[in-house]
Amino acid sequence: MDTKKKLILSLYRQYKATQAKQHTLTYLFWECTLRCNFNCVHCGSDCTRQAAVPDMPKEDFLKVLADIRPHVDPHKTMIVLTGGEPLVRRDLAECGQAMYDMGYPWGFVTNGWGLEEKRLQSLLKAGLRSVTISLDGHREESHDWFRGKQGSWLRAINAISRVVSTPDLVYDVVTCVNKRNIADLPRLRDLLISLGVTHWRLFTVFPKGRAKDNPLLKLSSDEFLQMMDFIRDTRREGKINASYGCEGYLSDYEMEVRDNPFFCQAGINIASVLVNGDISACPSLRGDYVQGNIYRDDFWTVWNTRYQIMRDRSWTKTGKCASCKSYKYCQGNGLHLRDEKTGELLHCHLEMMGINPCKQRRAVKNTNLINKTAIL
Amino acid sequence: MKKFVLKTYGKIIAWVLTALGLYTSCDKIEPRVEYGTPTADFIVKGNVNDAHNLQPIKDMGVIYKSDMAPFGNDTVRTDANGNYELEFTKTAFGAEDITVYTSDIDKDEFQSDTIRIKASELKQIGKRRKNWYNGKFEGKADFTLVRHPGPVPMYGIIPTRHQEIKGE
Repeated sequence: MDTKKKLILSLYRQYKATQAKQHTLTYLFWECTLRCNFNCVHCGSDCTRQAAVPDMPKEDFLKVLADIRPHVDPHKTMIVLTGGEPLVRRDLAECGQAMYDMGYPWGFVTNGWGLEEKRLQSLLKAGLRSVTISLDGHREESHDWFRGKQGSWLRAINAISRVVSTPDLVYDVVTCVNKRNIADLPRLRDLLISLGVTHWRLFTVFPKGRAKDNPLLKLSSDEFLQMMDFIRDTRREGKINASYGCEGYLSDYEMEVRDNPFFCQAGINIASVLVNGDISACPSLRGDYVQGNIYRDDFWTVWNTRYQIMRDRSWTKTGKCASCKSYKYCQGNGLHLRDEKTGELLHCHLEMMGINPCKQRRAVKNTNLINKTAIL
Repeated sequence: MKKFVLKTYGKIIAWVLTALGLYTSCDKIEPRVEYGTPTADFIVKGNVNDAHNLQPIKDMGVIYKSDMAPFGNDTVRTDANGNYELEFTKTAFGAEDITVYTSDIDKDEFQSDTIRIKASELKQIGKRRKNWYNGKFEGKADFTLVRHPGPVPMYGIIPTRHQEIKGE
C-alpha cells in the first residue's frame, strides 16, 4: 500500500475514534414491516409474504422520532424505511408526511415492484428525499431468479427510470453480485448508463438468512477480485459512480472502489428500530446486538448509555483478527459479519481477496491488482 | 557612546521581554495614551484539502469569527489550489490565540473543522507603532476535511438533508 493511502487511513482512524466518542445519531432505520411481495434467494431478513410479526403501528415509531427531536438536528437525521418491502405498507405516505412535518428527511429501500407513477408522486408529496432500488441483472432471467418473482426485472427498470427523471430526488441502484450475474456486470453497467443512472452500489452476500446454504451466492476469491477490478475500472471511466457497499476492509482497494475508507458506523452514527420494537444499529444486527426495546426503554437513553459493544471494538481483536496486521484499519470488519453469540469473525474480506490476514501476502494471483503482493 | 549603549541595552531588554512572552515590536516598549483601543492586524494563510484524496478543495469558506462585540465574521474562499489568505484587524494587545474554521457554504459536502492557532505560533511581521497599534502577526492553518455523510450502510439509502417540498 502506498504512503499516501496509509496516511489517509491513519487520519481516518483518528476520525473514526472521534466519531465513536461523539456518537452523533445521523441515520435511523425503521424496519416498518417484514412482509414482502418477493422471495429473494439472498434475503437476510428471512421475510415472508405473511410475516409472523405484524407491522409496527406508525404511531409507535413516530413517538420515537418526536422524543428524540429535541436532541438531534432533525434536518440532518436520515430516516430509512426498510423491511420486508416498505411499499407493501399502505400508510407509507402518511408515515412519510408525519416525518417530513417533524423536519426529518426520509427514504426507503425497495424492489421497485410497487413504485408506480401515482405512488411515487404521492410519496414525493409526502417529502420523500431518497430511494434505493435493487436491480440484479441486465436480463430478466438472472434478476427474476434472484428475486424469486417473474416480471420483477421489468418493474424494477420502470421504477429506476421514474426515479432517474425525478428532479431533486436522491437515489441509487443496488446490485447483489453473485455467481450468476458477475459475468454480466459490464452489460448491466451499460444498461444503467443508458437509463441515465448516476449512482450504482454493488455488494456481496454474507452467510446469513437464506444465503447461508446457497453455493451460487458466495463469490470465489477470483470472482471477488474480478468484481473489485470492475468497480475500480468503472469509477475511473467516470460514466457512472459505482461503489462497493459499506462492508469490509479492502486493503489495496480502499478508496479505489468507494468514496470513503471502510468505517462500520453501526451504533456510532446508525441506529435502528426493528419491527418488534427492538433497538439496534443496522437491521442486519439482531440477537445479542439488540440494545433495548422502544416498548420498554427510552430510545434516547439507550442511544446515550448503551451501544458500548459497537463504540469500543477492542473485543473484536480475537481469533484471526488478533494477529491480523490490518486490524488497526479494519477494527474487526463489519459487525454483521461476526457471530452474534461468540463474536468470532465469520467473513473476512482480506481472505475473500486471497490475502492471509496474518502474513498479509496474497495467495491468489491477479495480474490486474494495484500491487501484486499486498504487504501492509 | 553612552547613547549607543543605552539603545543596545534597551533592545536587549525588549528582546528578553519578548522571549518571556511580552510582545513588543522588536526593540521598543512605548507608553500608550489613555482612551485608545489596542489593535493588531492578523493574517492567517493555509490550505484546505480533502481527507480522502488529499486534493485541494475550491471555494471552501474559511472564517474568522470575532470573539468580541459586535461579533462580526471575516470570510474568504479558497482558490483553485485550495489556498486562502484571511486578513483582519482585532482588538489585541499583541499576539493572541486565533480561531478559524471552515464551512462548506454552498454544497455542504464536507464537515466543518476548527483550528486554534496559539499566540506562540504566530510570527510577528509588522512592527508595533506608537499609541495603540500592536503590530501585525501571521499564522498558518491547514485543514484536511472529511466528507459527510459517511458510507451508505448495507441495505441503506444515500443519506441526504431535509428539503422543503416545492410549491408548498
